[in-house]
Amino acid sequence: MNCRVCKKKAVTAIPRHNTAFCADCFDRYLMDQVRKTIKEFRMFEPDDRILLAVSGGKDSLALWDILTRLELDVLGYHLDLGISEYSRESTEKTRIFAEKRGYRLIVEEIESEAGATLPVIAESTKRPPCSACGLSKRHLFNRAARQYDRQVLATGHNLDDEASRLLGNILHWQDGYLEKQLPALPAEGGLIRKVKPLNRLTEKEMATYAYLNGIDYVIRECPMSADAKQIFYKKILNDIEKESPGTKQFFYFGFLDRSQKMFPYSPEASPPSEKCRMCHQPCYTDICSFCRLRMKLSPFPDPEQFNGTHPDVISLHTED
Amino acid sequence: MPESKEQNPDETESVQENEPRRRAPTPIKVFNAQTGDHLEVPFQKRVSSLLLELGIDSETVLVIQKDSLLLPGDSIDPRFEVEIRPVISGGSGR
Repeated sequence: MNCRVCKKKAVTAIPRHNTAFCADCFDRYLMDQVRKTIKEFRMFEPDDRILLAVSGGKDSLALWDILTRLELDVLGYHLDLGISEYSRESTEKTRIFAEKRGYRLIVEEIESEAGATLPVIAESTKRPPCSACGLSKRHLFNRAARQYDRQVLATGHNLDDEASRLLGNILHWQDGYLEKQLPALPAEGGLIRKVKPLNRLTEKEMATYAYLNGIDYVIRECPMSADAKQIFYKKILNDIEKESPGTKQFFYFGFLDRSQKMFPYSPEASPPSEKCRMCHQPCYTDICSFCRLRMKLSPFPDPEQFNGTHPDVISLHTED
Repeated sequence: MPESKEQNPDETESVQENEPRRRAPTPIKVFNAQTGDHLEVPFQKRVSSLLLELGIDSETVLVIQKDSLLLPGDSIDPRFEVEIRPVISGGSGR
């Protein structure tokens, strides 16, 4: 098969666009897709400083490379989840990637921040691992963005991630999540702006970009996500896509076209107006979910972690 | 009239087709980059038939041989190992 643009030997085919590209033309295609997404959803303002969540996987490392090529100001943030060898490899590959290219990177450990590794958190709190991971990341990403004076948080979610998440949210009619499933969420209530510049590109396209650009990423799957529903939904969507190329993109972008009509702004879905009285991050109640999780793990945490306002301490002082 | 020694071309072709092959086709060495498994599968001429043999959807993997990406219609060189690199990831996101 030859490249549809220049007729050289193709290295990748894209069935949903009924096309194929050589390495150079694929690079131009992919960069155009990212530029189009950034422009269409007004993801960045001039002089924005970006915090990029980097896992060490193909999508986030590739996005780091792409945003840097677009001459944007990017600071990488990696959270070591403490999942034994998998996390060691993820952190190492992220560090090496950043060092080789001279990119700036912040590395934090969930064990230092939450008081335990992800497997221990999942076990102790009886939460599904992906749920505990998501909760911790949302909190720590937002905190890091504010701490390092970043105006926007970028993540490497791709079309497959978004379409499978949409399918899961629709199957369970998760109205609250559907309302927020947008490629760009504005900053509000102390929550930083969030963007997903890869939402037009599939996992295969991102893996192809990473391969062609010599990006050494973590290939193996997170051992704690083996039973994740998202992988199951991805398989279903890929089966449909095989029979009818383009359905995945039509499904997801069709939703985006209709989301404003389907889920108009409602005051109930307004941003958090409170500040957690322990960590001072935005939240809906007096103590945020992350601090509640930390309290479950350690009823007597280091007071410095909680700015000296652990509820137990407060209640003791009050009684005194 | 002596019987002609010339064979019917169709018959010749038929005999050749039924002849046992002299050499067993070379199996293909496959490396799964996600699991780290190495395996051998019966010779397949093209990537599409290899993926079919392995029960893999071509849109869920990269197929790599000799530092090059292969497409489903590309031929496989049985002298070199084929890397199958799954691209699907899951979980709560990154």
